[in-house]
Amino acid sequence: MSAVPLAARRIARSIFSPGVTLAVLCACALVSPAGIYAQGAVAGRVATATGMPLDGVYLVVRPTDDTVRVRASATDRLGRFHVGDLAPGEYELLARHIGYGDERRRVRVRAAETVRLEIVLEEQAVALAELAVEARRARARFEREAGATIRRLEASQIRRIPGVAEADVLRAVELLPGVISTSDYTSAYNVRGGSSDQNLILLDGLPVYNPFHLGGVFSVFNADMVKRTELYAGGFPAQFGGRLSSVLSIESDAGSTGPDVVGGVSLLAGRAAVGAALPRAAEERLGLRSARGRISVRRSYLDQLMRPFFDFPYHLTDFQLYGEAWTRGDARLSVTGYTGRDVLDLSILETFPLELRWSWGNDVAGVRWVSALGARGTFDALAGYSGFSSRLQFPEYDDTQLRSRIDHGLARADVELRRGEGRWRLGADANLLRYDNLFASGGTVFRKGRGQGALLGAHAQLDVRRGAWLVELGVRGEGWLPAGEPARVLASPRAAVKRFVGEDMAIKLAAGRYTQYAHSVRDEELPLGIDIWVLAGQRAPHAVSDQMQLGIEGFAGPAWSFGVEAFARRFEGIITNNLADDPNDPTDDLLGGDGFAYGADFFVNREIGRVRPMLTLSWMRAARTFPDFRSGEIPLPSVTYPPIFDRRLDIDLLVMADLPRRLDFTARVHLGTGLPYTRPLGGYVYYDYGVVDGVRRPHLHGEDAATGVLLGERNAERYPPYQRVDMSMRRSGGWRGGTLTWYVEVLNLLNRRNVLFYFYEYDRDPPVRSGISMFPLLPTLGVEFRF
Amino acid sequence: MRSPRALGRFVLAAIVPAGAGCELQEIVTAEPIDVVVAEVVLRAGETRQLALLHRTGRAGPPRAEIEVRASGGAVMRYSEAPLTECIEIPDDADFDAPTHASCWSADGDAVIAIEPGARYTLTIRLADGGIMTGATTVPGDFTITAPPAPACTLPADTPLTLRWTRAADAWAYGAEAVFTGLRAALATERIEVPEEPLRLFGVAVASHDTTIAFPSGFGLFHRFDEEFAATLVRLQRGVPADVSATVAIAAADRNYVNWARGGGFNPSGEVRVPSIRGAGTGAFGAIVPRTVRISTEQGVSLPGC
Repeated sequence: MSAVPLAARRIARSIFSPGVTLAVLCACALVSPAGIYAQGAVAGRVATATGMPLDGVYLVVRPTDDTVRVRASATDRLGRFHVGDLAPGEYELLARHIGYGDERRRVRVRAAETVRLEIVLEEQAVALAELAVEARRARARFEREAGATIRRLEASQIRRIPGVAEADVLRAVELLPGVISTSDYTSAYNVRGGSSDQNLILLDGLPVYNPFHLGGVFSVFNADMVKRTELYAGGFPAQFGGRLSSVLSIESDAGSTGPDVVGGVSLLAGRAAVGAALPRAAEERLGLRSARGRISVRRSYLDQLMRPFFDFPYHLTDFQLYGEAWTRGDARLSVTGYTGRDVLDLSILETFPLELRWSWGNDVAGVRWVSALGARGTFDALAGYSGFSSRLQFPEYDDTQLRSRIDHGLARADVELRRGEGRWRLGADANLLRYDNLFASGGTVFRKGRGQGALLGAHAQLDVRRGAWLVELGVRGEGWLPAGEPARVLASPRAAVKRFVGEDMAIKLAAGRYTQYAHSVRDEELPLGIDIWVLAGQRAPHAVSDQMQLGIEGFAGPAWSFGVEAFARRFEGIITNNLADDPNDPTDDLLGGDGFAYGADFFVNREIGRVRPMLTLSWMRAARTFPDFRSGEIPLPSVTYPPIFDRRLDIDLLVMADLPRRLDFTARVHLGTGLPYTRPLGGYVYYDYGVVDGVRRPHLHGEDAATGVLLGERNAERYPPYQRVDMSMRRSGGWRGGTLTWYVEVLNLLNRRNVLFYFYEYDRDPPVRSGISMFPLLPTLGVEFRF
Repeated sequence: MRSPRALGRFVLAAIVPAGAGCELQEIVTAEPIDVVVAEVVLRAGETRQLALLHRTGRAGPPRAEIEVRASGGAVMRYSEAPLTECIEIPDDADFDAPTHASCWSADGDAVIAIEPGARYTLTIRLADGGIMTGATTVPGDFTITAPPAPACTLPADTPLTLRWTRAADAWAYGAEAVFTGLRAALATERIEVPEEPLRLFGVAVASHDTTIAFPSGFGLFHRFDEEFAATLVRLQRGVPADVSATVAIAAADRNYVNWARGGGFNPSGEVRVPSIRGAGTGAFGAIVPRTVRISTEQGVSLPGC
């Protein structure tokens, strides 16, 4: 019997029909009681005293008579803003930004007119709290975006959320609603019933494959270089393609105008980021208004530190670069670079029986150009490369090769145009992807795959705000051209409608289709591992997901925000490894399947104040259906089961408190229902079969005989509930003109033995169940500096 | 023949406990369900066929009637044989001989010809009335072409590529080399050979993969085993003098391969893909074995390899 009722699968299927969903959304839009009366607008540009445009400046337009709605907005990448749909009258405009003083203007808005403003913000010694500004930015997004479920994490939050040894962007993402992690050992995450390879992770718009150090224990992103992280947990707009489940957008921080040095030492690694502006003379010579950038380096040091005592076989190194320059025409040119390498060199260990050298890492480079297109338009172009490679070498055995590589070159151009209260987002992208995987040993190729393909995409999206309604209608068209194989052309409609209920709350409904042409074949049931990518083609289908979500989001006062959202997703063309493949058939090593997920997530968050709690609840049910290769039958029957990331209920409580004496306290309580596993029902001695004489001999693991297992229903059992309490305490103080922050963190404060695996040992009498747990109580400390 | 997917598990097993070092407390768990596991491999061209029955429970050696029927109608019935004919427990093993297993053989008048390319069905009637069934198609015939002679001499420390013709419908070629005299030969090099004779496995995947390097391609699945490490590294250079090796190459069918290789990860043990259905589980596979003897002994009058 399937672990997931058939009825539930039918319900999930029946609610999906992109055409029906789109029709419903359009109908909602058409019945909108749009404000027919003529409205006015306030628009303009925000810049520093030196003329450098400021992006992300929060703007609020408040009527002086306080009889109509407050409107919020934020400047775009070129420092421009537009606040429309304003009834004629007197308004006060407030502009706020981190590190700058407030600027207020009184404006009179007339019907069918746009008031133009040039606002200059002055740097201020006592900077406005980052979180306060970012909370207001969320308010601006609330007013501007209809469909996307966007969860934000600011740099200051990321730094304070307990990670493994040091702050970690991806570990912090696990706190967000709809996101779960299957193990303490991995910073990979799953969003709303999608597998981890269905998350598009972007560094300044460039995709990053397998962004993990140490097989997933922590991410490649240096928190000191991160300005802002946004997770699109669902309903992401038409500009995003290539992944089914979520988009994580990580923006790098170019730093302030002056020189700065930021870094830290954790139990894991030492890191430093240096930022500086280009000298004025150089800017002049290059015809730039301004230019600044930062470069960071991080390296683990245990291998060096422990060298006098013993050989530590692992180290990581990464470098990151981000710079941006403003032209005199207010165009912005930015460059991003990342290169990182992990090396696990067991050949230096005398106790390890085999010389083994494993290295893996990412290389990312890109350049981006953003410029004005007319008075209210923006042109955004990006070109870059992203690659990930892994190579396992055995110096004593030159007949063995294990390598995996994916390369992705891309170019994209996006245009944003505003016409009245409408906003058009148009764009096109071209991607060239290539992969090369090989696993050969002893002269035999156990598995290999190589291929390439071009993905050409174009998208158009119209956002219209009419009174209390915000409607987004978009479509993304893609052509996937795998080399030597037939092309596929797919259209992915996306639509969303949001109805504002009063000033502070809105109901939203979004639906869309999402596609994916690259899959990871990593077995997610292994807590550590490296993604091995393959492209859709003869070996693997392309994946399609139809998704719908309905929710309410809003604000309660200036400090609190909340949201609740129900979702349903259907997945087709997802893959799993066929471990019973026919070695004579090069195309059957992957099996296509489908799946679904439905659930709801909720959050309430206080972003301003000395004590800032955030509570998230995620309820979800997911299932996958694949041909059951383990059955051994011909043809393969299908099996439906909950995937490893089917955590039904996940609750996170995060409390950040600013205490006296420059102390910061953060506590995280994480509760979750148990993850599924497949229970062995019995075991038997595993014999090696003698090819020479037909006699069997027990296969030995050390001195013990190995066992084969007779498995029960797939993933039908659940581990016990997960509970973990983490705490961190940070204390900042002045030191030689800068700031020094000491921190102590304790993961799993209550030393809860959360189960990683159970081992059933049926060869013992009586049989026993043992196992290993995830992190025990794990204290760590470190220091951060900022000058 | 075991899958090198074990490599990933090995690394995992090494890293996870090292990182955490937190074993869960043992608790007594429910008795396993009792299922008979049958391992029946037909060996083409041989006059004796063996079948092993064992079980996941503790109900003693399985009793059964086992018969294999050829597509032409000929029937081969197995009779119980001493367990030592099916299973060999190393002298220095730290565990007892199995008490819940039984060995079955067909020879003499009972045996039927197992022909390459032919199809056979298996029926096992258990003492409790349960019936297990399976079917296999024996891979096509093949011959070893290098070395051309069934026995040959090879200069010490000289690599050799074994070659053979393609066997139709083979999913893989299982290979085993049994080295005799290696312990003495490597004693002078202060390398401790873990077994005498030393049995090492190799594999060639897919029917078109018709070569294997000798001796370096053998021992693939023992490379992570500390006991074997020095010996296997040494054998990358070739076989030392005064060693004799019996090398078998066996074209294997789907059922044999699926049972031998891993069928996914489970922390409690090896997952295997069965080809026997009904009241139990197991594999009913078929191989076409071919053997060659390679010697580095001096003074032996054999043709060169």
